[in-house]
Amino acid sequence: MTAKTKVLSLRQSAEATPMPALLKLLTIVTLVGFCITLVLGLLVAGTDIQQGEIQRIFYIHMPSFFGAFTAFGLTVVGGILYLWRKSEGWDRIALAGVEVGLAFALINLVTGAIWARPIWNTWWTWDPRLTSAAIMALTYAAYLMLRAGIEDEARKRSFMSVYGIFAFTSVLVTLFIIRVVPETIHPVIVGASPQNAQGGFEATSGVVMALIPSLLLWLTLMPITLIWHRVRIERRLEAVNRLKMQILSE
Amino acid sequence: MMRSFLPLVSLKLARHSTCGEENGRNCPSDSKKITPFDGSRHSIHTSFVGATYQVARVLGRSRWITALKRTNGTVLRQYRTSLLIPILIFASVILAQGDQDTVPYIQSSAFNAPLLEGWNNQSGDDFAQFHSAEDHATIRTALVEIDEPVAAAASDLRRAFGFDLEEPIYQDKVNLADGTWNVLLYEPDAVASASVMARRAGSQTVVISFVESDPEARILMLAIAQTGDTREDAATEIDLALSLLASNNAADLVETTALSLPSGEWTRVVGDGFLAMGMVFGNDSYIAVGEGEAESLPKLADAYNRSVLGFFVTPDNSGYLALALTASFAILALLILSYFWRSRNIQKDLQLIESLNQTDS
Repeated sequence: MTAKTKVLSLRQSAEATPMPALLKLLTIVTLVGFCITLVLGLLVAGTDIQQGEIQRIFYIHMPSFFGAFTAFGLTVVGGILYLWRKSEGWDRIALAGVEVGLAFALINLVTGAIWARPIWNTWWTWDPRLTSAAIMALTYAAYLMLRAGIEDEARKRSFMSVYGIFAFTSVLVTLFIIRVVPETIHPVIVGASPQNAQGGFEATSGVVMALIPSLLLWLTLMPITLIWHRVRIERRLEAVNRLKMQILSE
Repeated sequence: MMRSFLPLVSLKLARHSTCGEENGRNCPSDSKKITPFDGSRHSIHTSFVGATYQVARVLGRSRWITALKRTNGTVLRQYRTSLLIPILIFASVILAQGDQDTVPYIQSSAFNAPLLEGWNNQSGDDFAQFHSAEDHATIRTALVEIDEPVAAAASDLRRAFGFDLEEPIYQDKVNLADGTWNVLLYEPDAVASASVMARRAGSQTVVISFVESDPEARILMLAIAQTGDTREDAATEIDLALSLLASNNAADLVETTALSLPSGEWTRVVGDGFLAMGMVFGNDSYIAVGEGEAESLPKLADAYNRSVLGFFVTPDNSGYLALALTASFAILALLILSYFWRSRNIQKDLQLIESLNQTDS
């Protein structure tokens, strides 16, 4: 391939391409679904008479964690497949998974802290679940910082793939810690709450009916749609950077 | 293609069998053919599914879908799952509205009081009131627009029962988890007695009262703060309560038994001409004393103390909910805006490279 052909090819890759029909549909369905789940959680589900209105944040707090779970899970898949196939596309998915997952993890942390203020009478406590969730978010924030600090593209992709795979242990620890560490005040909604749990409530049919659509949306549509959009941007960004390097090297 | 799968989506949602005209399969002779419009067996579900089916058919004919169908047939096949999700969400809205659990509480605009099963519910918008004609007893919870508990209790008893009250026969204070309560006992006339607990709630007062007007019995309920020596021993607490009421004394206690009721573990004491019950809970003791024919004392003591211990105010923390929602939207908005910013920067870089190329050439 001549230099001119390469530049032309890179320029084509960097240009915005029309959004695939499926992505368009996913985006619309996600937006509509998001609005519907908000209506379900904020208006349809009954008010918790003990906790008051703040309990409604549960319909975002818990699903956002599972959204982060899906996104970080895709980072693991992307990382493994990149190491196996050495295809940059998988690395883009891994990176997009971290960005989207981190945003969801932040939503989870912030909404949890705001809920805790009226229910636990504190914004934050070094409870095992809260601590592991904070470590999880910091682990993935470190992913982005480390990635930005490595110059060599191939080494960066390989290193971050391995990092992304191992970082997922923090997600698993966060998910299961309240089941194995009894000294937590974080409530469990499905199954028996730990002995010291404060602020729990029963998963009545009203709660479940508002929670399941929200959980489905945050678990599947939201991370997939956002990651897909992010991957498209990353592909263009990489092409632009290569184009710059190509022009500079000529 | 679109028309062929859309009825299938509706049918799947309704959990109907695959037997039916829509998919052209033959049904067993004894089975009923079910279409999405069959309203006879599935009222709410069927009307919803029927509506969904109609919407899906209209959507299937729309220009947008038709255009999409021409451009990419494979994409449409993938839509099935995506379309199911909003449909399921809509279904959940309908099911959630029709299937809310009943909480065993009277929820007024200001407080929650346990619902007393087996009692005649006479509650209004701003008070909870239960009456037992058989026991000549009424348990009432109300919020009174007076900030002085003793005056508020007298006012509520006057308003609800028409009592012309003088000074209480007993008055004290106890500290419970939700504040300091005034304990008041009244005997407004020869037949009736009123046991009241009242505490301030902002500029108002919560009054929980037990009123009995049984001519054959005299029943009083009170909560007393425990002393260090008497904790865990309800019989001693009953003795203390009796001495406070100055109607009996410890020498009268003849039989003590344990009694398990929904409100807790009680000690039941039978004395000479009276029946008393006591329950130790937290740092306080709850005592019920009955003179005369007071066989219903366990039922009444249980109901009143469930009202006292089960009373709570739903906190107003909608400000925190607004804050949490704002924070969530802000984080999502930042993520999505960053996509736009990055796309715009890429476009700017491309334009810059283009202009540099033109300058070079």
